[in-house]
Amino acid sequence: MAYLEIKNILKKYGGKIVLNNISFDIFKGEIFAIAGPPGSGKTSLLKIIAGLLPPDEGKIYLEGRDITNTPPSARGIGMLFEIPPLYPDRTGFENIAFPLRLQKLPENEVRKRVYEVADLLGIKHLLDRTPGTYSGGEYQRAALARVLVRRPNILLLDEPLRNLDAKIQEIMRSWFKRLQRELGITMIYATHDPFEGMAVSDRMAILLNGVVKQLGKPFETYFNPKSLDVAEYVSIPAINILEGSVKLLDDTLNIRIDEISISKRIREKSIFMGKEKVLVGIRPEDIIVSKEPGAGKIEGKVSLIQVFGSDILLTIEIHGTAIRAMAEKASGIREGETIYLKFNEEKIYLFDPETKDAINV
Amino acid sequence: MSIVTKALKYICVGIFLLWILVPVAWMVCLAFKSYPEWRVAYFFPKDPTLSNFIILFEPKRIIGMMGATAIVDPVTLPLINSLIVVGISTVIAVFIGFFTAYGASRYNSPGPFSLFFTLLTRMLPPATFVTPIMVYYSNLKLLDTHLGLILLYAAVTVTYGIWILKGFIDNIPREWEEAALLEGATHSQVIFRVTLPLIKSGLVVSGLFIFLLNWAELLFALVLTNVNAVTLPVHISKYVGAVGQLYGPQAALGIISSLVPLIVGYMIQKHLVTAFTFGMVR
Amino acid sequence: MMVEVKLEVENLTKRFGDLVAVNNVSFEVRESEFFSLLGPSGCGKTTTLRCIAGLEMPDEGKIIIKGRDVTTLPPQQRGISLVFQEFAVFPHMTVYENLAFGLRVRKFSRDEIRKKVLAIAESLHLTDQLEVKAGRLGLSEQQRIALGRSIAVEPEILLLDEPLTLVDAKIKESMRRELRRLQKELNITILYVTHDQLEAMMMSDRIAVMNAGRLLQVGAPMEIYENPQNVFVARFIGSPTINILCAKLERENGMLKLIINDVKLDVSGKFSKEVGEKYVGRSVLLGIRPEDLLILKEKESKYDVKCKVDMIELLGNRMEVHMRLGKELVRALTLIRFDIREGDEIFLRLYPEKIYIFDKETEERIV
Repeated sequence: MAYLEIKNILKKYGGKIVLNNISFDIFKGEIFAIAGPPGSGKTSLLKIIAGLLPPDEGKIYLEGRDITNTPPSARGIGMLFEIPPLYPDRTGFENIAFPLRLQKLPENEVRKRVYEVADLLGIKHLLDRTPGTYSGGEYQRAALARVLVRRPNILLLDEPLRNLDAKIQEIMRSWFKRLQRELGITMIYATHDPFEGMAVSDRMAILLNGVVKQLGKPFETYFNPKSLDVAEYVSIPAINILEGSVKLLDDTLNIRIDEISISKRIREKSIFMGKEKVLVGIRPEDIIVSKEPGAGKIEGKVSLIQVFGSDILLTIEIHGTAIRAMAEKASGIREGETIYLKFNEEKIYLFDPETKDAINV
Repeated sequence: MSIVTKALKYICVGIFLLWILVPVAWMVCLAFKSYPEWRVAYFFPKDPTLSNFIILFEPKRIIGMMGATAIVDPVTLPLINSLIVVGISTVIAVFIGFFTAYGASRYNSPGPFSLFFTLLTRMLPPATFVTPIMVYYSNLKLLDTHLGLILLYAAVTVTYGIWILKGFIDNIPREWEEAALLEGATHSQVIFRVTLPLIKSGLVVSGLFIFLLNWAELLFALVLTNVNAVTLPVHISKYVGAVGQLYGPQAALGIISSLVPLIVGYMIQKHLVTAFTFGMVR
Repeated sequence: MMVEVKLEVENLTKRFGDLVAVNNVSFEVRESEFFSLLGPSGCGKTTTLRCIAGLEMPDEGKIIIKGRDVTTLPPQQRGISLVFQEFAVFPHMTVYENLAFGLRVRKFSRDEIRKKVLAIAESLHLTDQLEVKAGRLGLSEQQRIALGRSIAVEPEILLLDEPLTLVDAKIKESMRRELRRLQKELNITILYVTHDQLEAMMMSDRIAVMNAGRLLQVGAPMEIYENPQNVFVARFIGSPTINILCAKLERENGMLKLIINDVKLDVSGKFSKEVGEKYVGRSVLLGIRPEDLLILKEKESKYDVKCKVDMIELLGNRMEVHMRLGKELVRALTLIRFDIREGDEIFLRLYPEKIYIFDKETEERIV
C-alpha cells in the first residue's frame, strides 16, 4: 500500500495554474525525486505536502488517513528549505534545539536529542559556533539536523544542493543517499537538475509546467521518455531533435533524415498511417563519429569542441543545423574538420510532430 | 587626482565641518561661562562655572543677579515630561509599526497604496492641521495632558516605524517562519520567537529614529500644552528672546537636551552597526 | 608565431588583516583566450579578479594590461568590463534596453544596436523577453542579461565572476556552448572565475587552479586533467572525483610493486631509478580516476582487487558505482550494466598506466 498518496492537487496563483491535477503515490522508505525546471511548481508542491500551503483542490493521504487539513506540525513531516532557517544570532545548538523547545521538551531530553543528531551528521564541532562561520556543506548539515531532531517520518528536501560548490554537491548528493539508507526515512527530493534526481532517487517524477509528465524509475525516465519535453529535460548534454520523413512498407518503417536512412520493423503500423513526418531524437552519446565517410553517414563540419569530463563534446554544423555528438579525447578531431556521423539505430527516439508524444516501436 | 583637486576637496569638507561644528562648540563653551562672560568674543571661558546649570533648575536665583526675568520655572518638569511623553509614544509607535509592517510584509495587508498614503500624510505641513487638532483636543479635554501628546506623537511617527520595519521583515526569508510553523509553532510564537529576535536591530533603529523626531518636536507641544505637560523644546523656546537674555543657561539647556538622545544612541551602538550591515542571508 | 599577451598578473598578493587571500599569484592571459580561474569557495579567485578589475588594491604585485601597468589605475581606465556574481541589471528598463545600454552610450547607430542586441539575445535565450522589464524576470534570466550587456560592448578583456551560478542546469549547458561560441566569434579575451570544474573544462583554452590563495597549476583543460601536479588538482578536476588510496611501495624480485590490500601491482615501468630508490619501503598516495576503472565479476588478472558494491547512482547513460576496498571507499564510472547490484562482491581492475602516484607528505605528483 502506498505510504503517502497525493491526489488531484490543483494550485493557482492569481489566475495562473501552477499545479495541474497532480497525483502520485510514494512508498515507505523510498527516495522519491521531483525533478523540473525552476518555476515548474516543485516548491509549491512540497509546501502543500508539508501543509504550509493549502491546495485549491485535491487531497493528501498518509497511511490511508486524510491529512489535507491537518496542521503542518502534526503530519510527522520535516522540510529542508532552499534557504534553511539557521538563525545567525544563535549557536548551532540553539538552532537545532529550537523545534524541541517549541514543543516544551524537558531540557535534558533536548540536550540528548541534539547531541544524537549532531553525532549522526558529524557536526558536533559546530554546536558552539554560529551559522555565519559554517562552510556550505556544514550549513546544510546543520539545517538538516534541525529538521531531523524532531524525528519526522517523511523528509522533504527543496533543492538541498543549490547553494553549494559543484565539487561539494557531488559529495553531498551521495551523502544524502547514504544517510537515507541508514535511517530508512521516506524522502521526497526536489531538484532542477535531472541528473541529480536520477542519481539520488529510487523513483522519479518529472514535473513540467505544473504537470507530472512522467513517473518511474530513473532508468525508465532516461531511456524511455514518454514525450519530447521529457526527453529534452532529462538529457544533458541536450538531445538532438531532427525532422525526418517516414514511409511505411509492410512491417518496416523507413525513416529518412538527409542522407541517413533507418529501417525499423514495427508492430503498431496504425500509428504511422497517413504520417509523412516524424521527429527523431538522438543523444550526443549515441552518435558515432568518424573521420571516414561511409554508407548511411551524414557529413558535417565541426564548429566547436568542448571538453566534457573524460570525453569531448562536438558541435557539428550540417546544412545550417547544429548537431551535438560525443567523441573520445583520443580521436584527435579538430575544429573546422569535416567528419561523418552515424546514428546508433537502437537508440533513436521517435516523436509525433503534433502531439510531441513518444512513439513506441 | 591632482594635488589641487585633492586640496580643494579637503578645503570644502573642512569649511562644511566648521560651519556645522563651530556653533555647537560655542554653545558648549558658553554653557560654562559665568554671567560677565556671556557676551565676550573669545571661545574658552576664563573662569569655568556650573552656575548656568544650577540656574536651570533653580531660576529664582537669577532674580537676585540680573533683575527681572520671565523664566521662573525650573527645567525639571519639562525634562521629565519629555522623557515620559517621548519615551511612551516611541514605544507605542514601534509596537504598532511592527505589527502593521508584519502584516504588510507577510500578508500584503495593508496594501501598497495604504502604505503610500501614510507617507503622504507626512508630507502635509504640520502647521496646516494644528488648529483643527487643537479644537479637537479641547473638546476631548486632552489639552495640556500627557496622554494627548503621547497619542499625537505616536500617530504621527508610526509611519516611519512601519517603513523601516517592513524593510527588515522583508529581509527575513519567509521559509524561516514556515519552518517554525512546521515545527509546531503557532503564528504568534512565530512572530515573537522567530521574527522579532531576528529584527532586533530594526526595532532599535526605528525606535531611535522616532525618538529623535519626537524629542525635538516643538509646534504641537507649544500649542497643545500649557503648564502640566510642557516638554523640553517648549521650555527652550522660552529662553529665546526672553527678558534678561539668559545666554548662559540657554547654552546649558542645549547641552542637557542633546544629552539624552546622545546617551540613548551610545547605548544602542552595537545594534545600529548590525542594522546597517544587514547582509546575513546566505 | 608571436602570441600577444593581453593581461599579465605578477606576484599578486592581497591580505585582509591576517588572512592572505591571494598569495604571490602570477599568470598571463593571451589575446582572444578564454582563461579560467578555478577553485573552491574562498580560494582567492574572486579577490584576484577584483584586483585585476581595480576594485581592490593589491598589497604587492603588478597588473599589466596590454603592456600598460594599470596597478594603480581606477577601474574605468583599465579597458575592462566586469560582470559580477551579484550582477547589475537595470530593473526598470526592458531587456532590450539593458542589452543596448552600453552600445547607446558608445553612440552606435540604431540599426547596428538592433542587430547586435538581437544576436546576443538569441544566444542567451532571451529573444522572447526583449520587451519585458528586467526587474520582473527571474534570477536565471537576469544573470544572462548582465552577461549580455557586457558582451555587447565587446571590451578588451571581459572579467566574469561566476556568471552562471544561478542559472538552472538545463540552460547552463547551452549557455556554456553559446558563451564559448560568442567568445570565439567576437574574439573577446575572457577571464572567467568559477568553482565548477566541468564548466571551466568546457569553455576554457587554459585553466589556472587555485586553492587557499595560491596558484597550483596552469594549463589547457586536457593537460591538467591528464597531468595533475598534485593531489588537490587531481581531486578538483574531473567528475566524479579521482580516487586517492594509500599504498606501499615495495621491492620484490628486483621489481617495484605497489601494495594495496592483498594486491601487488607491478609499477616498475613508471619509476626512474632514483625516484624508485627514494620511495621504496614508504607509503605513497595512489590516484586513479573512476572512469579508468574496470569492473569485473571474476578475478582475471594480477591487477584485479576485490571490492564490495556499496551504492549505485545512475547518471544518464553511466553509473557511478561506490565500492569498499578494504576500509576505503572507491568510485568507478561505467556504462550502464545490469549485472552489478548493491551488495555484490566484484573485482576492480587497476591499470598501472592509468595510476598517478603522489608523495604522501607533500602531495606532489611523483609519477
